[in-house]
Amino acid sequence: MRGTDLEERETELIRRGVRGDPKALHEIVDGHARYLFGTAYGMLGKAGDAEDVVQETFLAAFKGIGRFGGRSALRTWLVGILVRQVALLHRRKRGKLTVGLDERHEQQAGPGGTEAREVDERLDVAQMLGRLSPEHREVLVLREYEGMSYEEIAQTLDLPRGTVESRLSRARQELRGWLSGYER
Amino acid sequence: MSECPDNQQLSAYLDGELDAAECDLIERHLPACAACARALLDYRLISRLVGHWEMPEISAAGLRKLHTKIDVVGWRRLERVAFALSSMAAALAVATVLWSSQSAQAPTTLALWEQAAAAPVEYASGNAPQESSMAQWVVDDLSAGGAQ
Repeated sequence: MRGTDLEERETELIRRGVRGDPKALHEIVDGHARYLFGTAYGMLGKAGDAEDVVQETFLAAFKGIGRFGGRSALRTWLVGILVRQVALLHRRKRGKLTVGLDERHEQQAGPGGTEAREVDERLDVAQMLGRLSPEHREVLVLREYEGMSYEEIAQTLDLPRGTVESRLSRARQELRGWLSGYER
Repeated sequence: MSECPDNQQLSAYLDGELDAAECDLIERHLPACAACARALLDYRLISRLVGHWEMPEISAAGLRKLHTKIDVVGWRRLERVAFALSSMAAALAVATVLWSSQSAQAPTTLALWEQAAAAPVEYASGNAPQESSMAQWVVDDLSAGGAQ
């Protein structure tokens, strides 16, 4: 589907969603749930938490769908809500949040090997991200997976641009240190 | 740039977040510094790994749960709308009953022309005023009403 077709289709879905058409809401879920789950998983590292956050994201979005101004793509708007839901979850779990991952990821991959190509093939990215603090992980996922600029990340997370820059830099340094274990 | 850029600068360089002058300094430094070149390579590898990571998919059960939740919320929304509409209807019914009971209790002082219209016996008995006097009544009555 071309960009403009997709936009028109989404505009129509939103119009119907505002009127409370359940079919439109289900279509929006089908179109975006997988992607949002991936982002949530990248930020949280736990499938259960990611599913909860995706659910809260859609509920919040549908409650306020009338306020969607269409200035950004529907996905961008949903990702913004998702990020705020992740922040709420962090707040609720503060002190209790584990940096861990799903058990299946924890059992995989350990240091070893020599080439970057091999690293790429064997490395479990989930495990790698799981080593970061939630704050560092979320900026890295938004930058690398969502392709957001520093300014966009700052707006989405409601942080100063300098904080985004330093968190990203620290996240990369931390992962670099961990990667070196693979290459030796 | 003879001095090595700090990690934050190198990271921002990778993301294309530095201005042209800062980029130029780093680009002149990199060929002469193996450590910075290596750090940049590592950052690129991390960027590629995360950027091309095939994120796990939401489970079928998770997706079903999501759809069920949307349905529940949809029904709650309909219930709220139905409740709001029925509340409005009830309020309207109460207002109508109050208004009609007040109308029934209001003192009915009939205007002269209404009294005349309500008293056809007078006309039938030939005691009705002349047409010209009737017209004068109406005018008088209106004037009196306007003066009130």
